[in-house]
Amino acid sequence: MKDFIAINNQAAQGDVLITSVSAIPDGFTKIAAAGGQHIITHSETGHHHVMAASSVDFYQAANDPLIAYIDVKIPAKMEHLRSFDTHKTLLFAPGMYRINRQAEESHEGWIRVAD
Amino acid sequence: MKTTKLTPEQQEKLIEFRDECLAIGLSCEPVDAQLATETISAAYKIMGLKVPEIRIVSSPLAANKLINKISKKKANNYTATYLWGASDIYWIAFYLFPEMYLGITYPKESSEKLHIMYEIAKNTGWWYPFENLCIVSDRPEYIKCDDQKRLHSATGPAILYRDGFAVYQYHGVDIPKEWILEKNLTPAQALTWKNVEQRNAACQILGWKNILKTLKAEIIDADPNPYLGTLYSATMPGGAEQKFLAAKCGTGREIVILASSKAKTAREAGALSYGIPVTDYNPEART
Repeated sequence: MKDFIAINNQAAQGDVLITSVSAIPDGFTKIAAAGGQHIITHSETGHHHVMAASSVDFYQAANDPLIAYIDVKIPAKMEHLRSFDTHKTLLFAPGMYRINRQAEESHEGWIRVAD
Repeated sequence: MKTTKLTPEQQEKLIEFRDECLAIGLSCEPVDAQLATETISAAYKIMGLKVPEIRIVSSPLAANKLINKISKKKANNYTATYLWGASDIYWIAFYLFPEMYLGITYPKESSEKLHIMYEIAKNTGWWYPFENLCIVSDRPEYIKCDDQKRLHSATGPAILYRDGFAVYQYHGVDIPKEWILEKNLTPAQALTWKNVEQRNAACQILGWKNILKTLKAEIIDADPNPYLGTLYSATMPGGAEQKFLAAKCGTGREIVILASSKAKTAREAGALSYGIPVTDYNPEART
């Protein structure tokens, strides 16, 4: 059995939705990687969703923590760093993708889903 | 030569070795002070350092109290350690098995360090090394896990040390001890808890059916695709209406999120949670 799922247009990994797009809009800047990887979405408990910096450029906007973009240069995997209840790895073909982080609406307004 | 496949004998050995290492990691035997002292001393010597005073304490909490006392820090100051003794066995096992059973050779110095870490894992709990002092925690009195070996107890601490220091976990998720000890968790608290993993645990503790019944939740829409889920509306304490979406996650668990008041279907609630129009929400996979 393969340990990953290849995505074509849109897939979700936990609270992260990834959608294929044709371009990265203005207002997003390239983020430097740390330790050879990009933390695509950050988890409060350290269970981040990550990709290898050698395969992917990562773009974020200063004013919106819920949306980011990736430019996949060579086939690349997004992994979920948790040893149990792990969200299966996704495999991306080269291309550009939008990353939407999940949020929820309470009576206090919209807040990012914390995990 | 790269090893790409294990022989049946190696596969058998791997299972045996895994079980041995699991037993080390889950051991609740009190630390033998002499063995702990010998192995920690050997580690300092390998690093070319002077052997320090070695003090065995009852738990990581007791270790922190001692560090604060000695360094005259505030009583609630927390000193982290990345040296976990028995709990380090997971990564030690990963590197040790190829050397012990697959004929892989490491440089002498690396091998020596790996083996002393293995000895420490067999003989100590968490440890806090300093220049002239090394504090070593005892192992816990008990460790409770679920059938997937995740820390878990629905009736008390999942880890309890002999001095009363305790860790509360529900199927591997850290939870407030009051949820277990005082049983004061309410359905409204469970559904609106900020951290979604803890919320999931809270909903499991109370039971999904009980939550729906207590809050008199009504189904607005049930999508035939369990990954898109069911949209509910419930009256929260205070009288406000709150919609929420319960959907299957790729890990097989039921995850609940607070849904937009504008959502009329489960699919729409999912789309709005990602800030996109419902027409653009059609995930081909959810992991």
